[in-house]
Amino acid sequence: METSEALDSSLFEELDENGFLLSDFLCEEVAEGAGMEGNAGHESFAEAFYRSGSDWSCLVQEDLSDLKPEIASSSSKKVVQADLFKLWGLKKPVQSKNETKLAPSRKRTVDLESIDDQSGRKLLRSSDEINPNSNQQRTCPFYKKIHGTPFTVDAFRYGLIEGCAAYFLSHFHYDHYGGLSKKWSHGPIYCTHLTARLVKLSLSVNPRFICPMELDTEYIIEGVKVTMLEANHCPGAALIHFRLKDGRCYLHTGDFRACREMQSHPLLMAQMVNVLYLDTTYCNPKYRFPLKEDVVNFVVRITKSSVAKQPKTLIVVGAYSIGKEHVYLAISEALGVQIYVDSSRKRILQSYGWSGLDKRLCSDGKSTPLHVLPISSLHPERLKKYLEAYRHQYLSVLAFRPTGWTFSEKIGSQLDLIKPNSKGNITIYGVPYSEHSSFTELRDFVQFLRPEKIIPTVNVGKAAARDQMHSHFREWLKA
Amino acid sequence: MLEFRLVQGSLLKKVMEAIKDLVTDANFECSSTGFSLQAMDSSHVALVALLLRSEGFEHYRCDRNLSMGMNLNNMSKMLKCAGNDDIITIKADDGGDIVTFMFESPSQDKISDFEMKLMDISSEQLGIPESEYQSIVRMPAAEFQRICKDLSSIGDTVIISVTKEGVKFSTRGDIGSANIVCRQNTSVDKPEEATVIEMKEPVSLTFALRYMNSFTKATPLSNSVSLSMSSDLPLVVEYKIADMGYLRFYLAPKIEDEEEQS
Repeated sequence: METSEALDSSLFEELDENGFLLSDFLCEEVAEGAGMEGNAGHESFAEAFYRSGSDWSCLVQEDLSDLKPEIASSSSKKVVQADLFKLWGLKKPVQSKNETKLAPSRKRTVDLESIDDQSGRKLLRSSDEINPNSNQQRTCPFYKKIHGTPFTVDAFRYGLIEGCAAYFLSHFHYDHYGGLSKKWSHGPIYCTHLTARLVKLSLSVNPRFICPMELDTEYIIEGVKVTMLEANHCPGAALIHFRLKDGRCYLHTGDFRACREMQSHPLLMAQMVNVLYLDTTYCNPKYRFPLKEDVVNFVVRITKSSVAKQPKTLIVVGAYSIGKEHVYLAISEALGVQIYVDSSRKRILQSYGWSGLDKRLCSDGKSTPLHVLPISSLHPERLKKYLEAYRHQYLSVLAFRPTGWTFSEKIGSQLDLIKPNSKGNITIYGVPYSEHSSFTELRDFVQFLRPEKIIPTVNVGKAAARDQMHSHFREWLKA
Repeated sequence: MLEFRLVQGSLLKKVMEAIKDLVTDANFECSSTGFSLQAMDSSHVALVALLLRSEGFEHYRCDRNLSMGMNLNNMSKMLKCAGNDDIITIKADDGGDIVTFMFESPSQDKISDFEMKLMDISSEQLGIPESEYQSIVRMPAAEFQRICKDLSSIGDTVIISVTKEGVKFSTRGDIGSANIVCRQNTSVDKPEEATVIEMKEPVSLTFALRYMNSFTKATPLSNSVSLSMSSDLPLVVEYKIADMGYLRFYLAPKIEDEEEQS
């Protein structure tokens, strides 16, 4: 104790010498503060400053809330570094998911000989390669190539891939279609009809490259039998099943949420899968998501009770460009209200051709209390601003952020334990509505298929994570 | 064909020193209106944006838009070879894969040519959203540098709080804590020594001092620095480059852990 006191006071004196505390408007109070047993703590400083005649009161408030987490080194709230993409609501370039993530931080000595280094850059050969947006020199990682076929899956950001005769797109999320644009000319793109419509609509890809496929229908492409299966992910998402000429079967899950129904699919029941390309987004035992239906019911329940308490509630559901439709559709049905979406989202939703959804959409925010916003805008401050525009109609906001990332081990499947994040009249519920498989669903799916080999396609950037996943796989397939 | 001549060559040297530790590689975008760069650090926490308008150059020619990928460390090595008073000319051909830096001594008795290989860097230019900020503080750049340096000897994060009256920088570490308050002060002889606070709403944000210290390497570029803050946006630290443009750093704050990682 003694030493720390000595330290305190020496620190105080040092500050003194530096002149920070003895600046003109402070010297009197500091003298006083020094009288108070050399307490250089934060309280006395704020107090001193306040008494010097400035209105610092709002900061004292701020300090209490913002400094405490720092001061209390106990296990209370910790601050973590945010990143720019999240703050700006921009999509992170997909390379952060795979190995190239490390590349930018790697100290590079300029090795003029290495024309094609793994970090995804290449020394220029000619001017037509000077294109800031071209990711062409990045090499396609092995887990996007279907071994033994001239196919790749979700590999559009690598430009022309040598030997690739068909580019498959599992579903229309940016981290999968990234690289596709109206300039695409590297080869045919195979995807489901719905995804094909989105690719045309949103990316203006030349239709002559787009080859839509029906679900559950076998196509022969380059001598390989290919079938798309429902992936239980976002609209249009598919599992892709390949049967090679030699009879071997490969299954690429794209992004999916495994479920019982998949296990009764004739194609998966009939023959074993040799290689499984697996969506391992949540391949960690801590992720045990409740069923999507349960989460939807919970959301509806909360909404109904909130609206009963305060009829002037604006309900906001966060969503990515596509996906999570069932959450707001369920609210819309339960309350008998329309769904407000902005015009670009409306175009996308209409392209699904879901009549149940179409007739519920509206483009006038004032005519319905149910609004769909980008998931990145679900912050108390932004929602407060958003509510401003509707302040004559609504007094509070009830928002849902439906994503697996909100899952907490403490809550697990007991949804009623979920505590919203409330600030004033803004209430945000993070609900574990996941369109990816939870750990046990992955396990059940793998144990059902019993593939010879599993290739994880997500979180493969770190060796430790890869090893962890492979040890889970071994465990599952041991019995 | 691209060619521009900067009499104040030291300016380019200073810019390079200010950013080379933050980002390794970057694309320099050249167009008829000027010379710009945007690059994010590897952890996606900070972003550098540089703009040098064509008017600021003694001679500026850029026939078509050109993107030149450079390793900043290497570029810095080359620019270090220029004297502080040298005139720097940058040249590149439309089809070429090299950029030439030419340094002329002020007395015109020595001319050096340095050629550097360009690289193809796959980085996408981000559309940084235009935002209004709750608080903007303008203060002497040297003062800001000193504050960041002093605070980082005590703690590793700084809480910047702004009210109408002043701006407060606080930190806390193992050995103790520190608070530095700068009050609005416009009654100074030189405008660049003023501390000016434009505040719509008080704001308080937490940042990693490591980044702040890195930003303050730009101090030689400008007498004053401005800090623009809003509670849900990255901080913008801007150094104006006289008559030419700016060097801006965007920094994501540290936020409470409950904001999930999605």
